[in-house]
Amino acid sequence: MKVNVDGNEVYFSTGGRAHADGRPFVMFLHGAGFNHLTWPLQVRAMAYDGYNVIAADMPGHGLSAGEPIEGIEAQAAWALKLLDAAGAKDAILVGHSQGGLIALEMASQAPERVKAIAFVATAAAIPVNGQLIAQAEKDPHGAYANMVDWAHGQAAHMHDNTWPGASHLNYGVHVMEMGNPQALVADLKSCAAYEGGEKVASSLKVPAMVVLAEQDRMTPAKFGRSLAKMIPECELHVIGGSGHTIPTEKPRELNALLRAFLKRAEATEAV
Amino acid sequence: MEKDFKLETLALHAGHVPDPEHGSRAVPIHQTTSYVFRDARHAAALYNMEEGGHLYTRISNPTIAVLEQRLAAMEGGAACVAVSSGMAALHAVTTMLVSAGDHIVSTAQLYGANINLLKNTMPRFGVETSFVHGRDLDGLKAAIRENTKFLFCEMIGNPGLDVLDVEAVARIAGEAGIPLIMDATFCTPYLFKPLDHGVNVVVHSLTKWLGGHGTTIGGAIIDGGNFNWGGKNADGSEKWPTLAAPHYALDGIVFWEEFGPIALSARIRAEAMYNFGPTLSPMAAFQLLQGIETLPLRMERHMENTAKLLDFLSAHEAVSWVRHPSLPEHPDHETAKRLLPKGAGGVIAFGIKGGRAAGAAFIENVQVASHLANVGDAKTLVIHPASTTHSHISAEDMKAGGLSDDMIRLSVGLENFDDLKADFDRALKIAAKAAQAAGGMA
Repeated sequence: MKVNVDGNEVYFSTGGRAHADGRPFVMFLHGAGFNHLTWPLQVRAMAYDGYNVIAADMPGHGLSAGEPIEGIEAQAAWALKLLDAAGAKDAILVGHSQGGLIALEMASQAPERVKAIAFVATAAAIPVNGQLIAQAEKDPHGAYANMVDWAHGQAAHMHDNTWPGASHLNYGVHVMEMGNPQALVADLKSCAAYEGGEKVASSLKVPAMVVLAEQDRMTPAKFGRSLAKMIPECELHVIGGSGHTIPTEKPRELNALLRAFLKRAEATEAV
Repeated sequence: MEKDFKLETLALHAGHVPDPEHGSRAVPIHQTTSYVFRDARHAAALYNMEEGGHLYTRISNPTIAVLEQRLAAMEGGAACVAVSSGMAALHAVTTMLVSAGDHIVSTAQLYGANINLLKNTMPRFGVETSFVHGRDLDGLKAAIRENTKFLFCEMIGNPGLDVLDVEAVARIAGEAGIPLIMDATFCTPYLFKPLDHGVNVVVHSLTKWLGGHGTTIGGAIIDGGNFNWGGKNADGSEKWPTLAAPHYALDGIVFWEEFGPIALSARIRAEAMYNFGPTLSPMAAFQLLQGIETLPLRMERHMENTAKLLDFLSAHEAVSWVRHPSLPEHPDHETAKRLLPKGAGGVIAFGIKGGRAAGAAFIENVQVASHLANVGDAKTLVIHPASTTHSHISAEDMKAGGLSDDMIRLSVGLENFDDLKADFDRALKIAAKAAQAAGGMA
C-alpha cells in the first residue's frame, strides 16, 4: 500500500493482507540498493501467520518516490515516521544487512517503539569498499552485478532455487534496477559512515536474534558473530549453504527461525 | 548477468545441485502428480504463494523446475516457466497480458502457427493484432495504439530467414512503454541472447535446437525481469491489470508488487498453468535437459555444416538460388553480421532448377537427410513446401509468403559434411533429370 512520509509517496508491502487491529506489527528493513522484494518469501508468510507486516521501500528505492536518504540516523528517523503513517505504535524489526543498522538506530532513537530485533546477515558496522562506492556512482549496473555476485552463495550461483524457475542472480539485479540509480550510492555511504552500532547493540534491552550465512561475502559471518556477542541477550544462528541473501536463498530455514523468534518476542512482552 | 557462469557451464549445471541425501549427479525424474504436505499450514502456504515448492505437477515439478532454472540462467532471465510446446508458450504469455479490447503489434515474418494464433484465434476473444514487416520501423511505430499491450517478433523469420534489427525495434517498444516479446527458437541462447538487446520476454519451442534430438515437444517462457509492469493508461488505470491490479484469487494479490521482476512468470504459474494446464511432463523435461547439456557443442557444428552447405549449394549447377542471412545478397546480411556473429541459424532455403517437379524429386531421393516437418533436429531435415505443407496454396499466396514452387527448406544437422554433400549431390542430379523429363528445365 502507499502512504505519505515527508511529502513523498512511500510503498510498503503488507504481505498481501490488510492490517487488522490487535495484531503485532513486524517491520522488514531492506539492505543497500534493494527494496521490499528482498522479502517475497517472508512477507506473505508472516502476514498470513497473523502479523501486520510493513515491508517498505525506502525513498528512491523500488516503488517509493523521493530522493534517497543518506545516513543511517536519518534513515532510522524516516522509518519511525513510516511506523506513524502505518498506524503502528511499535513493531518487531527484521533488518537485512544495512536494514540491521537501521533497526539498531531505531532502537537508539525510540527504544519504546522497538519490541524486538531479528538481525539477518548483518553486523554492528558495515565497512564498504571505496571502489564499490565509486563504481555505484559511475556505473550503477556494474555495481549491482558485483553486489549480486558477492551476495549469493554457491547453490544460488548454480541457479538452485526453492521458488521454481527463478534465478537468484538475475532477479537480484533487476530488483536493484527498479530504484533511483543514486539509491545504492546513498546506502553504501550511509553504511560506511555509521559508527553508532556497537554502542546501541551493547545496551539493547529487547529480545534479539542474529541469523548469519556461512558463505556470506558481503558481510562475513565473523562480523555478525561480534554483533551477537555485543548484545546482552541474543540468540545466534548460522545457516549453512547460504550467501548474504538468506531471505531468498534459505527461506525455509529463515522463516522457521523467524516464526520461533516472533513467538518468543511476543511472549517476552506479555511477561 | 555478467558475473554468471558462461553458457557452456550453465547448459550443464544451472538449476541443479545434487541432493544431499542421494547425491544423484544427473537430474532425477520426479514422475509424480503431487507432493505430500508437511502440515495444513504448509499446504495453505503453497497454494497462497507464500513460499516456493511444489503442490501439483500441473503447476510445477522439481524436474521441470531444473529445466526452467537452466533456461532462465542461459537466457539471463529472472525466471522461466516451461510448458508443453512452443505454441503453448506464446498462448500463455499472450493470454496473461491481453484482455478483450486490447491490441498487439507483431512483425509479419513469423512461423505459421504464431501468425494463426494472433491473426485467427485471438480476434475471436476480442484481441486484434496489426502485422507490419520487421524492416518497416516507421510502420511498426505507427501501428502502436493506446491499447497495444505488447510488440511481438521473431529474430529469424521462417521461411524467409529475415533477421530482425531487434535493437531498433526494442527502442520503438521502449519509447512506447510496451514490452517486446520475441520467439527466439531459431537462435537459441548460443547464437543470440535477446534480453541483452532490449527484449523483455523470450519464448522458445524447446522441440527444436534446444532439445535437439527430435524426440520431445516442449516450450518455455523466459521472464526477463526488465520491464516495469506498473505503467498506466492515459486515464490513470493500470495498463497491465493482470499484473498490476488485484488478482481474482489469492486474496487479490498484486503480482507486480509482491514479485516485481518475476511478476509475469508468477501470473503464468498462478493462472495459465492452473486454468489452461499446458504442462510439460517430467520425463519430457528430463529429455530436454539431456539435449540442452550439449547445445553449445551442437550449435557450433550446426553452424559449421551450415557454412559448408551454403558454399556447396551456391556452387551447384542444379541450384537456382540460395537464401541465408550470412550470404551478402540477403537483405538482412548486415544486420545478421552485427547481431548474430556466431552464425545466422541452421536453416537454409534454396531453389532447384526445374520448379515443383524437380523439388519433389530432390525430396524423394535424399537418403541421409529426412523428409519431414520440423527444424532443429540433430539430423538434417528437408521439406519442399510447394508439394507438401503448402500444396493447397496458390502461387500468388505462396509468393506473398516468401515461398516459391522450387523452394526447399533445409535444417542442417550434425552429420559428417562429406556424407551430406554426397547425399545432396546425388539427389540434386536426380532432380535435374526429373526436371528434364518434365520438360521444365529452366
